[in-house]
Amino acid sequence: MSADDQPGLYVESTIIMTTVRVVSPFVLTFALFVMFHGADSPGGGFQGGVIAGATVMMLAFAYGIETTREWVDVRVIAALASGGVLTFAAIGLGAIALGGNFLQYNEYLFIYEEASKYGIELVELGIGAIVASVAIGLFLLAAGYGHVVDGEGGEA
Amino acid sequence: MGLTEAAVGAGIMTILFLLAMANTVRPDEARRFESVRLRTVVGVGAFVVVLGATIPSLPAIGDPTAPVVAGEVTQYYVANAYEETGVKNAVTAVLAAYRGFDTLGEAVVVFVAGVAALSVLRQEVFA
Repeated sequence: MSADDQPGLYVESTIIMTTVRVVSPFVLTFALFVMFHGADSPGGGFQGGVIAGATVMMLAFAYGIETTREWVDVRVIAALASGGVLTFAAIGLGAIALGGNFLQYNEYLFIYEEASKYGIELVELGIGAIVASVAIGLFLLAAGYGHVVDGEGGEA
Repeated sequence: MGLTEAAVGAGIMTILFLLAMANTVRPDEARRFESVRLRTVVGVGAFVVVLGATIPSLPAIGDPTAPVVAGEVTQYYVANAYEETGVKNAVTAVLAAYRGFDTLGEAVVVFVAGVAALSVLRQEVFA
């Protein structure tokens, strides 16, 4: 069976579209909550990032992959992924530059007295950005691959 | 972190498997099963037996005298994590502070997985 005689992946459904429209802001808020509160409660960058990535997949599930692809800017995804790695590495190497060890948060005490806690929060946000953008990117990549091979309207 | 497992396992993997099924072809009946080599069976079976033999020596679930609880390192984390890192979640303290270098490697692995998928599929952008 080739891809030509398959029906399209996307079937429009009012129920799914309405549900996703109502639920997705809460899911994204929960993802940010899990990321920001990783220091004081269960959660963290890996967990929050996956939930944030799942929000975009939910939108694609409801509104169609092509629509979502037009809405999501791939440059933002690439920037988020590399920005996360750079944030993490910069915080780690910054402590070395100030004369401490790698990721020695108390080197930043001159900026703010709870430097250790907020340094850890920033690292968690960096991890969240990497995980969310790679999850979204892999999804869009896997969703678009067949279309690119078939030459039917992938705009990659 | 069961939260990650739930979101990845139940949500994202299902979607990725569905996409993989949509993008691949179904082989015909004759090619669906391949014969299994005896050598592979012996190799895999020996590996499973060796791993299974270690199960009886694991401590019972929730055992307070288990080495991971009574160990010096765990006790140090429990006693000092809040004072030294300022975060109340000891797991986060270990993840982002005590073993931060390991976590940087872990985050880079995720990043590299995305880049590797792009290069294997010969794409320049996630599109």
